[in-house]
Amino acid sequence: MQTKILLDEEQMPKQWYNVQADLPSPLDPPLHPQTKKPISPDDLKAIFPMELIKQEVTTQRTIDIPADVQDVLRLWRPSPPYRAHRLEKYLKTPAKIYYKWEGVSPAGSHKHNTAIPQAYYNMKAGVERIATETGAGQWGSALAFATMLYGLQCTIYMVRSSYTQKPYRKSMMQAWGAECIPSPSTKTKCGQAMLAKDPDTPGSLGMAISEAVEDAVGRDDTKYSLGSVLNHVLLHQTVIGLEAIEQLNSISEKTPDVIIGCVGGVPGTACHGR
Amino acid sequence: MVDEYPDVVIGCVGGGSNFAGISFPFAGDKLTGKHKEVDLVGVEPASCPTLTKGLYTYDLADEAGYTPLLKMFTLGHDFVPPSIHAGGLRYHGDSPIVSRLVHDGVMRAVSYHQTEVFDAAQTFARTEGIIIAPETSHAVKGAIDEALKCKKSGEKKTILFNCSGHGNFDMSAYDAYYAGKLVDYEYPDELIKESLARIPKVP
Repeated sequence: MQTKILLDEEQMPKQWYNVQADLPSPLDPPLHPQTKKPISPDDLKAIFPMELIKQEVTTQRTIDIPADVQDVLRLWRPSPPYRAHRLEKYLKTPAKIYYKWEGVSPAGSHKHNTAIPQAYYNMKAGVERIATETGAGQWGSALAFATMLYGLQCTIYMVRSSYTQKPYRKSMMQAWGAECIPSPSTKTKCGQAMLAKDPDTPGSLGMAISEAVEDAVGRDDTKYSLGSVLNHVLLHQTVIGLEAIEQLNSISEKTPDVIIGCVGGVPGTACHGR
Repeated sequence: MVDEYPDVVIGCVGGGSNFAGISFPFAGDKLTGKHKEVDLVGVEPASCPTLTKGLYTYDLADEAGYTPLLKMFTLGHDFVPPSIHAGGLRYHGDSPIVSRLVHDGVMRAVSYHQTEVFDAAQTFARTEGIIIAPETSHAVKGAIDEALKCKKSGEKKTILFNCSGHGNFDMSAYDAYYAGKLVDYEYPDELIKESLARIPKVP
């Protein structure tokens, strides 16, 4: 009865999978908020390094994971999938349940899978500082770790309701050298406007994104980073599914229902049993 | 060796990154006809029901309007979701790719209230041992429901879900659950309509 399926480090995916290659028709393009015309990669240059902009728009099916990024991902990848034997038994279900456990990363979630390459490409482009938002703090803590590895400064706008609910996420970001500010804050113009509208607002990801973007646009040494939604972010996460496909393929046969051994004084069958 | 391939793949959805992470390689198999039948299920909170009650249209990705307009499922960029404990899922919009795949029927979405989601998290902690994040608990709830459907029908499906993160920093949410302080809140349709009315018009 196999419980977890472990791959060798060498079997970790070397490429990300880009589902844009297999869409029946291209995605509708992002539009400029003022002109409502499709944006060009140049429009994104103020907030993202070029390599990530390329990944955002490409329809190439696979993209190589840089060797430096693979080295870091190997700290916890491949992550183990588990067969949930005990949950199945409790539910009395004939179904088989597997779960891919992403909590083995340093901050304890899947968010590192994109935090590491995003920090890496920013470092390569000469960026010194990154501004971002975080909801529950999973993304913020993952990016705090990633930016620390590549020697970047990091400022994180954390949705106020989560900041209050999960104070130790903030401590974790500090432990990895990042600054964490509850959002909306008085540090940005949009934050001030949001607080003027509702001083008791619990905040939202939409508000925190605005603050982080305003911060990044206002400084030459700073770019913006996002923990979800955008195509390049999702691309980096495909290591999860790619590993899962490999791992489910390599699973050992469950305890057989019948065991057959030849009889005739051959040792080796005696200890088999159920 | 068994060549195991899931019938159902499940992840929780806020902006879409962990659901995409587990499901896109399977979506690729579905789109290219290699595994046409695989069922891809995103699970979201009923209090922030972007994929299940939002509109598929262009909207801003942030509140202030600094970001490009993205074609996605949205509840309106100035929608402020209630302060549920799954803070990572409190987002008005969704990934443009996940949105497209849901819109085209390649993936589907379901929503749950936070109390039933914490019931699932407790079941998981008491069977598999891991105390998971409130966000992840949505995926677990989705997986449990799929497994219970199999119990009814007798089907021996293979279910795979993304267990995206631990809840070691979320114990105040578990405390609220045990104190009976969690409120189930279904965001009213009228309020969604109101914020959707403020979406920028695209010619």
